[in-house]
Amino acid sequence: MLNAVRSFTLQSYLSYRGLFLWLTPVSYTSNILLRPVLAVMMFGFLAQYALDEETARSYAVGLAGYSVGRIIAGGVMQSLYRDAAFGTLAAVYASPVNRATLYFSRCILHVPNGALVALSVLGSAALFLGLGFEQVDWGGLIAAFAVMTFSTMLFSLFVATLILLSGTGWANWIIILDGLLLSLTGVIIPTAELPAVLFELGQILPVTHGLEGLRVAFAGGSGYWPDLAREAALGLAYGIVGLLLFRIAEVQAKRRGVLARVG
Amino acid sequence: MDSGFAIECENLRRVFRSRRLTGQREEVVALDSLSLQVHPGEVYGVLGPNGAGKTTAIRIFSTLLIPTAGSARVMGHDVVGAAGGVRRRIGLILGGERGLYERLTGRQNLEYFASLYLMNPRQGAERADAVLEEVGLTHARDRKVEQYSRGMRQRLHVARGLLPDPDVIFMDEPTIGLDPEAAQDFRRLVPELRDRGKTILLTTHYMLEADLLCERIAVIDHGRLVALDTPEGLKQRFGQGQVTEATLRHADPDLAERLRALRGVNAVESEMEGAAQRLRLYSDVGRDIASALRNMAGADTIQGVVTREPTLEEAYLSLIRESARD
Repeated sequence: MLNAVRSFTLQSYLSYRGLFLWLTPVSYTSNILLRPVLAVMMFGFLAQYALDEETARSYAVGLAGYSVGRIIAGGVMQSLYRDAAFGTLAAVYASPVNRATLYFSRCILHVPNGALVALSVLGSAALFLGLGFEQVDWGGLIAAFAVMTFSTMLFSLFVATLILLSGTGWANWIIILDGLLLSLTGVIIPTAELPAVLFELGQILPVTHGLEGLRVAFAGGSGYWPDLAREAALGLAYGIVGLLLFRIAEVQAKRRGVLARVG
Repeated sequence: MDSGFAIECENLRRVFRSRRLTGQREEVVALDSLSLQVHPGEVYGVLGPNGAGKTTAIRIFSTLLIPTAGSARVMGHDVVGAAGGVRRRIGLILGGERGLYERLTGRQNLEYFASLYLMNPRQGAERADAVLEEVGLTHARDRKVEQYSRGMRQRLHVARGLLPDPDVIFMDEPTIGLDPEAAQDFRRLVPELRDRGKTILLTTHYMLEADLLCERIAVIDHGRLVALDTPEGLKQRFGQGQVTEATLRHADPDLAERLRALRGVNAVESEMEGAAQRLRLYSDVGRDIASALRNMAGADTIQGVVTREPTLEEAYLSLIRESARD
């Protein structure tokens, strides 16, 4: 058991180092630190200018949830998809490793990036937009970020599996996913204001329910658990379906002969 | 049922289907009723032109491709029905520059794959160091792979194939990109592996390598087995008897034609090298072609003449030409 844990940890660490290409100082700083902070400043100042202070702070809370989701999605998707791009997938598939271990090991080390993004977004919102933390239910806030991290990790693995199945590139998918998370999960526009179809689509995206819970916790309320439970259940569903699809993707690749060759 | 063969396949067929932009379906038969048996501890070569089906066969044996028809087993495990059992017994060495984690060091690449082969981190690190030593990469083990030369990458591919200490090793053009010294090191390694009881299935375009390393060689073309024998057997059966090579100081345009008419001469190749002419004659064993040549060209004109056994390359080319004619 201990060996299995050690092996899983090593797989997580080395796949993260080997496949997550935002780990260079420039990429890391721009994607994980600057981009979320600049997004908060842009939307926050826009709201301050066009609307009011309260809306600006509400945007900041929403952007904190979205930014965590985005950075985890970008990282996790790379960590699964790039095996195909680097030509290492065949060597991985030729090994006897447990496929569930392989699949889930690709997401764990992206958790600290999510936490760092949450801190930098909330910190910059406090600095530039006067976001206050006096009423915050800290337990609820931490739980909301943890659950959103969980659901976006599993959702991102699911999407990365779709990329493997479809044989398409990663960049197009992250652009689409980015747009969906920003517009349909209640970051800026309340989900209730969306057209019915888009509202329903938002309900099956990660972040949506977690963000509702986060807003409740931020306002000092205690009724965040139902939203967080929905977010967690959604993540779990994506985890199970994604793993099944991952197995199907492997069989399909071997049947169709489209596995990127190992060398 | 275990037949005692390390690798075997029966009527193996693989068809690749694709669709053109016009919507027209296209089928390529990569393997066509291929049957092979490899004994445990044997070094078995597979030769064939590009597209003959060599890599397809290796991919099926290593569970990376599902056959369209037929069956294949490795160490008694069916490659489709018991793929997990196959994966635990094999190592895979593929050529090329890709297929490695560029941002990781050579050692980290191997540690990662060791974890995929269910080794605990300590075992993995020890094994990684051992195989790096074996392929001569210890000095570069902590360097990122993106800084490796092509030859170093190829050595790392070899190291990864040896990492799980497998019973069966599939080597698909393993010396591609290696400099002569490294290729020689590799050729020394293969007999060592065989002496340790490993079964090796090797594909290569280097005939000398196949001749030197393989106990038996299968020649495949268009997905079909066209010959199977020891290197010596192939040379004898398909090498067109004996080869006489000569260099003439001055070219004689009609000489090749006249030599072709000699009894027992099967083929004549002629090429110019400046003013000189090089001739290669394939004839039945025992014919004194050198004397006939001296008589026809004049002893003074001949710079050098030698009669020898055909090489594996000559046997192979003859076989492939014959296969193309059929």
